Amino acid sequence: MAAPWIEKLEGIDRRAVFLVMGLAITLPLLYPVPLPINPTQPVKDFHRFIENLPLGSKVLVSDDWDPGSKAELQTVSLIVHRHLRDRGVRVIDTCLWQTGPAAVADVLDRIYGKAGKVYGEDYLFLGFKEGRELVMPSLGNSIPATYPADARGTPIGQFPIMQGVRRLSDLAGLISISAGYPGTKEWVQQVQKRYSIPMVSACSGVSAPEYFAYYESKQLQGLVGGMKAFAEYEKLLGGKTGFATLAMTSQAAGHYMLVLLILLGNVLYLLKREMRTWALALALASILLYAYTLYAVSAASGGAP
Amino acid sequence: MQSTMFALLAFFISSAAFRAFRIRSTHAVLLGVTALVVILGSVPVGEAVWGQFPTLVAWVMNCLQTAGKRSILIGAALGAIATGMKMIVGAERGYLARD
Repeated sequence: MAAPWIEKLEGIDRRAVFLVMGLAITLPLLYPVPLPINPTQPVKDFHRFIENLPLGSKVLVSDDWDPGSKAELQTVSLIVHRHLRDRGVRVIDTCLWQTGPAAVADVLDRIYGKAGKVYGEDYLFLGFKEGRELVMPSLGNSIPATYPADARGTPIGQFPIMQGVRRLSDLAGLISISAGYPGTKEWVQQVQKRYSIPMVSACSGVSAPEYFAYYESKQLQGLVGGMKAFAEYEKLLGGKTGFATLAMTSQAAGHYMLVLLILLGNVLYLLKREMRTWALALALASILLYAYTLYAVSAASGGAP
Repeated sequence: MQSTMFALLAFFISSAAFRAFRIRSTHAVLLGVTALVVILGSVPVGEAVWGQFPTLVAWVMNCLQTAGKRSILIGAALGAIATGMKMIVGAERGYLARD
């Protein structure tokens, strides 16, 4: 028969667990902790791709996401567009997600509009076009035929940015910011090889494992997938700590709290089964792991965590 | 809807992990250790704890996870083919509401 306190702790109200997890996620957002972030190769390649674009060159950015994936994709969209703007690259933007254009227009306005960039000259938003992956090869054949007018209804031939641009191969590159279907996978399958256009992708965390195959085969020249990669990209860009780094701190705390709950649950389980030695060993191992984590983070970030 | 679902997932998964993720057998220990490695290694803190964490996580994801995913897909495809064959030869009549 297990001690009453073990039974009580095991049957703790789930709202208490929710509260603990909620605090673990929100506190790092309010009190940021510097984390050691080391950019990985796919992220470095993505960064290098944009760095190597010549000043004044034109790229197609396909912002294929909607408010449902705003937490992840708006974050990286802001970072990518800020990088492009600072490098002096001119952007033609599309959105193949029906509910996405308003959110994408907001990103463009915040990055280019408020920085004094000229619409139609430095950036252009073509808006939404129905047809999913069928739109992609159509853009490869003729951009004006696919999008006769921009998102505001103005014929695109009137914009200086469209001078000399007839099809995708006239552009310096393709950047897919993808939340799923249609997105990076379809751009690779329909456009990348057929029109020989250099391409990179920024995508949600759940999509990244699938797209790694395209990075390995060099069909994607760089890949930024998930909040961890966004934080790495932010670090490569330098400057003040951005939202991705802040969100990563929160996510890291969430991960460690989840592991702590699993370990605690198992210590209680072993105690309940009268396996005291194993319970003690697991508890000690957990304490050591968390103590060393605090020490390692402190040492890597150069201060107290 | 999607954002709400993912936001709630963190809370429900933590409660479920606390109650149900028990190391009852050798298989459960293997699953548990693998899960802990992936969870801890998927955030920058993991790399600070042990420099090889990301490499280990990448190996788990590229080899173990991909192999498992492929085996499930192959199993499901073989099941679908077998069911299709049974329907073609008339051995499976459940879809006609007959035994």
